[in-house]
Amino acid sequence: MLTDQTNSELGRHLLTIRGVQFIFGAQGDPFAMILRAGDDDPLDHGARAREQGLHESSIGAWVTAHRELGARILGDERFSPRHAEEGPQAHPGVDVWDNPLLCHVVPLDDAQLNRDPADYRALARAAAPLLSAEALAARLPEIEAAYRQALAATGERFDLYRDVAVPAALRVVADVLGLPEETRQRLPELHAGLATALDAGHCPQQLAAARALFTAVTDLSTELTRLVGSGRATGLAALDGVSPEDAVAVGTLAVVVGVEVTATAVCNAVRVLLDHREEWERIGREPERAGAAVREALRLAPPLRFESRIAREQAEFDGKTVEEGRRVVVLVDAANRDPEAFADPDAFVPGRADGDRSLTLLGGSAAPVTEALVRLQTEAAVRVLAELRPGLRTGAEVLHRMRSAVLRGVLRFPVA
Amino acid sequence: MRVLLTAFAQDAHLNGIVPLAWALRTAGHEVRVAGQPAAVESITRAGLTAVPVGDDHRMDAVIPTVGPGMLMHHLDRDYLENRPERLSLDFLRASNAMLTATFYAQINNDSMIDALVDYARFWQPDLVLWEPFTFAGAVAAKATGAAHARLLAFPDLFANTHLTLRRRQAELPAELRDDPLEEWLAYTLDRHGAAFDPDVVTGQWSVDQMPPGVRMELGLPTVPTRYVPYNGPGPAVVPDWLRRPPERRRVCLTLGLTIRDTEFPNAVDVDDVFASLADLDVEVVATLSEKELAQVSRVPDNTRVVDHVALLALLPSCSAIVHHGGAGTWATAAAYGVPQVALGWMWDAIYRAQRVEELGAGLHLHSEGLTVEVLRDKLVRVLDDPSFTEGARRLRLAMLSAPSPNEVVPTLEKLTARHRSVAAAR
Repeated sequence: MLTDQTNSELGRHLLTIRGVQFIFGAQGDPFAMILRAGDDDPLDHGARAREQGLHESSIGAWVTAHRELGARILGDERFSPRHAEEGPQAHPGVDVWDNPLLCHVVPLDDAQLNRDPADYRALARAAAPLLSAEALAARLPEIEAAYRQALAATGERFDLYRDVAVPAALRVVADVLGLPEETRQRLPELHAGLATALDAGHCPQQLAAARALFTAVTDLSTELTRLVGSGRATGLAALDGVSPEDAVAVGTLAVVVGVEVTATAVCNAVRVLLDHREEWERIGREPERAGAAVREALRLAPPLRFESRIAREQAEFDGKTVEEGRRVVVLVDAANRDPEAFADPDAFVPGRADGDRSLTLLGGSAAPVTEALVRLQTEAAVRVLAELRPGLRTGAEVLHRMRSAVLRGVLRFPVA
Repeated sequence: MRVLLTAFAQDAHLNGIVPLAWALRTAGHEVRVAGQPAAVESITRAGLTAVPVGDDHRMDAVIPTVGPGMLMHHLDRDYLENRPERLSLDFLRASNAMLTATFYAQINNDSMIDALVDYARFWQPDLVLWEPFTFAGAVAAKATGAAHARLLAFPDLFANTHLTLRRRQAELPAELRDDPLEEWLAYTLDRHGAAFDPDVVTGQWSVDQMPPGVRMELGLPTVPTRYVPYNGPGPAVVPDWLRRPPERRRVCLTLGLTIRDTEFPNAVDVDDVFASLADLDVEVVATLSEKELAQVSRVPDNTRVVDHVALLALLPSCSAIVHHGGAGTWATAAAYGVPQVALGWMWDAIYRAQRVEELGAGLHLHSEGLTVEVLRDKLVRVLDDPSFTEGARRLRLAMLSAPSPNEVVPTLEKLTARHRSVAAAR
């Protein structure tokens, strides 16, 4: 059980926080406007936030859209996804009118999204035989094959997200973790519930979506716990010297982050590249260009548009005091276009000299575990698509999931 | 019949249900009026039988936090807008999310809804009549099988906005339809073993007290009913000075009741209003509370300030009224054929003020555009140009042409019999 709240209690909690986001957004608060996740361009709000420097949002967070400050915060382990208090990260029943503690909207600890930075580093070491860049590079032919097969099953017109990105990412993660057949069969259904996980902690989902997420997280934990205890000789069950709890955590991150963030990254990268056709066509002929092109595309369109941390110690930035326990938000998409850090920041320049300054984290704070899984797949997807569909064009408008303030997740991405 | 009326605890919203409650009572029906405990005194002062339900709502505590954002979002919007850039899908969604979270779900607090359902299960009403924001009434009706209807004392633009949102969203894939009002009502109904139905938002029918030209035609079943002024629980006493004709033309100035006991801003500077009236050859009667009067630097010589006087006693003697745009004041002035200068800055206040201008019964002045000169100019026009008196008279006749509350009671009896579920019929 992720929560013992009744539907009325959980529904009212989600409704109230959502209302607060709209109320403060109407007063011009840029982060509140971003959390609304409307049809407007979040980069416009990010640019306004940058003009304000490090500032306090009415939503109860310090917000920055500057690359240098963002890099300091995201590189500092005193800024953690969780509060110092032990236990699940959730603030149910908090009266948001009096005390707007609007982080951790729903408890996502079982989705492994609220761990300390040191934990993620330890999990990354434990997961190295499966999820390190080296381990995944060794499986590249298999990863590419997943994208080739998904693409082969489509017709002339298809949906990039539904028909290629999600099925291929599901298949890759199932292969890498060595999931048993019955879990593989359930994976698409689990992913449907899990797709909101990265958003749900910051942007209240509809009650039904929140319940579906809780159910999927619980079911995934059950499946993975059974797998880890199965004694299978490959994949997650065979991780050496790793506790069952850590193995389940690794598997959970690979599914929760590895699928939806990968699918979002693939869609974002393809979308940027299709706006720069010459580069798309060149990748088709010179696949080694994919790495730099994807890195640059994900600078401009990061799959996680902002990062949220809790200051575990008091910190001073720009003469302002961020008190212990306060939420700090880095608007990654806007910081990645900070003109003080990037030459011609809005231009798409693969291999740009300042490209390593990008703050894009492929999996947020869990990136140490998931970065390679997301990056290698995104590159593989771009290589395969550019090679086999050099004439690919976007079709009707790309539709985004509602209330998807973090991922701006894709609902429909028609291409032909 | 047993008729349960309900309105959340705020006098301005209770007032609109009182005349029909009495019409039902004098027709021999059993009538109860339910609201939070804070509403009990106002209900009983209206001579009606009160049923306190749940705990008091916290709207007054929430307003300082949500008021400014609510104001900025809705500022200056006329909800008959046909310009999609002004009432975009984003705008409608934001409006719905804000109103549901920070208003509807606040004034219909869970304990109030649950106690109302409990009372309805005990008392078994045949009909629940609810003030249009008091969705608890619809929940109680659905939980018990009673018929239910809304009782409108102001133009129905909130339902209109919600229906517009639903129409626009119907064109979208199901995954993109977002309706917090429906979601809130659905899990609230589910708590009481009932399911969402669109009529929980609109009523099975609506008793609408707005006259043609002001009433919004939404294609919903409607029982037009005459607005009969009831100005609230303040003592309705005819003072000495209202027992002889005024020596000069009389102008009423009021900023309404709601501002007296809530923090909701009227955005009107009384000093400006007084300055614009001071030099006119009129007698001004200003209804101002002690709190409002404390903000005033000087009361002009031609002005009588009273804390309270029932508008139904004052307005028949007035040649014009300057007011904040509220529902009860607007409708009372319209019912007595008094030309109006209606201020107002959002929602139905703007709508009403614009309609009164279109109908030639007065002029609209957006609160933000209020200056001494502009207000004086508008008031002088309304006083001196006989077309406004004539327009106000036409509006009064339009209101009088609707059947009185007494006359619609048989219609309500028939509709109740048709909509009440068999289980609820006794």
